[in-house]
Amino acid sequence: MKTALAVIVLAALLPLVAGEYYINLASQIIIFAVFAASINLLLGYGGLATLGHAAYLGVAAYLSALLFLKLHLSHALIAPLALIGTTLMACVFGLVALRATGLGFLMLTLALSQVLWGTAYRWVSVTDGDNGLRGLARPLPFGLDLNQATPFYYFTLVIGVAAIWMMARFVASPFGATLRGTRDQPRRMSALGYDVWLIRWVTFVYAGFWGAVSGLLFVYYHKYIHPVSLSLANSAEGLLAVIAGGSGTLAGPIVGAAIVLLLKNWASAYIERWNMLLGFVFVFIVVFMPEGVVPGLKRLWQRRSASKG
Amino acid sequence: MAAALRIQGLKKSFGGLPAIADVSLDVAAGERRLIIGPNGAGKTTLFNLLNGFLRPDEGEVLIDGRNMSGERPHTICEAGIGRTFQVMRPFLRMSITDNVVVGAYVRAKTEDEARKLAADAIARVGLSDVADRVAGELSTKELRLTELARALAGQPRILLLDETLAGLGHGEADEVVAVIQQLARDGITIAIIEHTMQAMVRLVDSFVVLDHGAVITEGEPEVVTRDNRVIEAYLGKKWVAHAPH
Repeated sequence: MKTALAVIVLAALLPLVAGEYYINLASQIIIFAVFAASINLLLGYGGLATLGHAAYLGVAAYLSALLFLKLHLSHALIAPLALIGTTLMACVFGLVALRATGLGFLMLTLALSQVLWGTAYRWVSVTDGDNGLRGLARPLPFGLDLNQATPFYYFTLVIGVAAIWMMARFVASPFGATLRGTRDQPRRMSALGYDVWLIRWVTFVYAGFWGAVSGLLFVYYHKYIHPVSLSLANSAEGLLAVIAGGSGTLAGPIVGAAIVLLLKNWASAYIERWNMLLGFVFVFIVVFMPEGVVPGLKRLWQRRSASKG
Repeated sequence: MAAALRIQGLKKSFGGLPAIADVSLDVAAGERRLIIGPNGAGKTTLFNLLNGFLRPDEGEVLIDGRNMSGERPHTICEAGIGRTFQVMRPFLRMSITDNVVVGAYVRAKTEDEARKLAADAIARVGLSDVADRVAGELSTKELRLTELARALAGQPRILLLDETLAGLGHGEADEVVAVIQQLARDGITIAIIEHTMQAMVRLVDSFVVLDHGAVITEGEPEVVTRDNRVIEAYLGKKWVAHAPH
């Protein structure tokens, strides 16, 4: 709790010392962290590896963009509509994907998101295909102009903190405990009177909702949306961020999101083959801290303080 | 007495192999019933059919007269069947109390109520003194009792106990038997699977002997243990001649 508060305070002070480039980078990290944290609900706490979570980010972003461009609605109306629409989609996708667990679940989530990705590419009359949708604007909540880097950063920070707090509450609740129970011992949980399928489905929908929230922030930030947001690569990047940071931990997805985006944006300015560097970093993490950076560093820290004392 | 648990013409095959060929039996309310049989007789399969892990191919399972065959495990648990397992799988990093609370939510509406039911169940198995210890550091006996308490916390009317005494020493087995006896006196209907009969002869009202997925015989312990078919199933034909008649 203390660490979390310290991180929030430090994050709030960032615009005082950093330039616009880094403020924007920090906004992107927060958005990606919300996305990764929603994947972590399924992967880390539910034991359900998904390769289709970009669907929720992408669909919320596309819904928001389309409602803005075609129906000219206000953002105050668009945001809830996009969230409700995407969450309803998660309800239906959950019915399909949760017919299986393990690899079957992975393949079903992948298939469902690929359908959406293909649709976004080919349905040119609506999505403008490979060109993506342009001409979007950021919202003006309470008259705040979010077009500058710093106000948008604070806007993202507030929503990001609220989102991650809500997800932390979710996993710390008795429901979160039953979710971990279904991850570890699904049969025993059902014999003890728990509807394992329902617990997984509720989690799936909840994770879909927060994926949609990250999608709204994503489209506000870029003021542009392209089918690549719905792609397998985007889902996999989120999954990698969770695994690298440490699945089943609260800080893991945040650290993982920071690692991925820092490497992508910062390292690519200095090294041409930054993808290679990203690969090396992942190999390093998997070899030396297979449980992820956050639990790995914690373990090193405990070992150090134990040998000292 | 009305049958708390009635099994009628139950059948279940895996591939071409009938694991449960045709089983019918009644367990009266408050009765203690032991299901025995050699390895592969279908005892655990029978329990898996009763608590919904498996769907029967044919036949019915009636709980208090209500047909529950083919229902899912959590529904059957809500209907009042609790179960323990041959292989114990507690939540290792949680305390005994927390492990048992997990089993209470099927009845409890609130967290307080769940804690109360759990404390009650722990007291019934006699683990109140060690309730705060982590499951990972318990002995086999304590784990068995924790598992029993976890099933009890859901306030079942019928308990299915799968080899609860396996791996326990004589003294320890007696303690667990005493706990089960008390539960029976409290009016819980109990069906037990056990490999060895010794500890059970004193505990139960009647035996059911399974072999190759069918009931060979049932009745009072003294009668059943002298039955030639039972001796044959356990020891082979040539021992039947040696049996005292």
